[in-house]
Amino acid sequence: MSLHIQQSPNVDGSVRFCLASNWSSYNLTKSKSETNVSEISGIGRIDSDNITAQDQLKITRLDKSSNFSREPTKRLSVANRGTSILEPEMDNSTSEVFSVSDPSSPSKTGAPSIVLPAEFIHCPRDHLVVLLARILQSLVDMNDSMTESKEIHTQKLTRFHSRAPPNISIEHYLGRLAQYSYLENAILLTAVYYIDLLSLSYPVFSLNSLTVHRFLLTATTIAAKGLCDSFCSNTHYAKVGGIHVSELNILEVEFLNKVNWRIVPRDFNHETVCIRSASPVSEIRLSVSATNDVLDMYYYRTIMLVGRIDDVAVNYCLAGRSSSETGSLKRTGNEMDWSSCSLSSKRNR
Amino acid sequence: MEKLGEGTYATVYKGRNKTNGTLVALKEIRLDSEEGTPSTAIREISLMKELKHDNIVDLYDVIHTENKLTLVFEYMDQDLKKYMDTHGDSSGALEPQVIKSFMFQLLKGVMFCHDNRVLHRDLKPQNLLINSKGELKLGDFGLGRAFGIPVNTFSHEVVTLWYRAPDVLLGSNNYSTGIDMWSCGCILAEMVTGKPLFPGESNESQLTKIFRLMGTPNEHTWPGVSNYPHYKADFPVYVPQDLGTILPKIEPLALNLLTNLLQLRPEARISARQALQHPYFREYV
Repeated sequence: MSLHIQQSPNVDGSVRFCLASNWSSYNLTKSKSETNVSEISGIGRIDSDNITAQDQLKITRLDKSSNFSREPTKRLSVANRGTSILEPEMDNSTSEVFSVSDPSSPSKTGAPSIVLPAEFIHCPRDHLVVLLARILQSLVDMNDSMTESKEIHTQKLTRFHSRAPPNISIEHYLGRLAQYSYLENAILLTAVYYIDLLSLSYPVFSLNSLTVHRFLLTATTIAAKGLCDSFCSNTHYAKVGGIHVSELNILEVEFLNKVNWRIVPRDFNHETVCIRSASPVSEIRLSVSATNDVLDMYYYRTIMLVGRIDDVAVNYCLAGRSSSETGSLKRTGNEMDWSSCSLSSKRNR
Repeated sequence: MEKLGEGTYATVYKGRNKTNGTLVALKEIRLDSEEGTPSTAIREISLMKELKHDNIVDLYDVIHTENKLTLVFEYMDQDLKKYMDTHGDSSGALEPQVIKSFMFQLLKGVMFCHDNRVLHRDLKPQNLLINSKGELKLGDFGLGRAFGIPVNTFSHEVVTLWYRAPDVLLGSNNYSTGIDMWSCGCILAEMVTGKPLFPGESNESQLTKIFRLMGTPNEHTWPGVSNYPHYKADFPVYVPQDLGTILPKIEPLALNLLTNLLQLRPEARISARQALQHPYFREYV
């Protein structure tokens, strides 16, 4: 798998990847958020004791996420305020490519390929959970590793932070939420869209091993309540997610305020979101595009980015395409013509 | 200042903006520790932040305090229901020119929602607000939803029963903009007579009232109707009535528009955009 990361102009400390601030070039954009002292105290832990053995989910791939650090991570050293952590070696004009794994090596496992339906609503939920967990894990790994490699000892803490990474993998956690909170595919995809939405409108937030669990719980709760006609109580969502309902209520309001309550998935680009979040209420008219198209885009591109990666039990490709076209990024490089993959999503027009 | 109304999850007060003296409506929503922020509030705020239009009530601000959420709206004098009670004739019917103006503004607001891929899903006189300038604006988007998101669950508990479209009553699980257009038709008829057109008491009696006037649909008049979950082969069979006979005061062009709005088949119903092009509104364009 090769994920391309663009460095964006920056002035400050901590590092953040989000998925798709610019989907049109299909790069993972790294931007930098301010480093600051903690504003939040008393951040609890996901109560993994609540997650009992009987809750174990049947997931179709081997658990590959052991690298999802169970060991204690770097401490969030609040005392070490990042006043001198500007990174002079970063050149604003460059755009370098980090190869996450060797993009030229074909999948060694010879893992079976599963063909997924072109419409995400028909995608089996278990498969979608696996795919989305892969993309989330990639982002988390990158954000975690960037934090380490740049020797940044402070992260601005947000309400989404755990004190230490919860002892449950992203895939199991997402699968648990999907199963016990009855999350539809559209809600799962919307949660991934919300990574971009929140990262852009609240730059302090970054999806990493400390924030991903609370983020997923909050994002799926809000998406279900705001977009679906059937949803559960916050008490239920909190129980499934392993935190107290009073904390979920706070996270919910925090999220809604940070994204200025604009929770309907719309096509956006970096600028409009930034302007939007800075403006009082909303004087900004977003160009409205089909919500369905936006979620389709996340669905297709997730399959393209992580449908076929090394060392997994199952590869995925999209119906109507060969796996070499969709799953592998082997011959994509920078000049991959993504438009050729473009999305037979015009079905509603 | 004073209480304007009380709903199931909110209380509305009249207020004044201290900085510029303008009147506002304050909708206070109680936050429940079990539910967190109510789903209706999330929908209403998220949709109204996207919808800025002359015929949609303006949401100025959202104020969050510990146990309540206050939505600050533009102040409107009354809703269409109260307007009909006070300005209508003895039966509540409105003047033809007023009907046309309100209908035009209603359709403009609905078209803006649909253009922005939002279904209101609860259009009724109580949710249409009128100010002293004779402007009509859509309010209360608590049941609204963005459409185009493919989900498996569609609520059938949308739209107050009297204004609920037959496809919804039959259990449709992929209704769209047509459900708002049906409501517009019911509202037009109500402005003409001063009385609700289909005042049913249950899902079933609502369908019966609709069929009695519009005729009972069958596979011939509405291909696919028998596939709806709540379709029954033994629906009492009625033949379509002439709408003009029960609405003797209606203008011919308004009657034609009404007929286009009250089509049983959702695909046959006129869209808001088409309705605004209707000759009934010739003088406005």
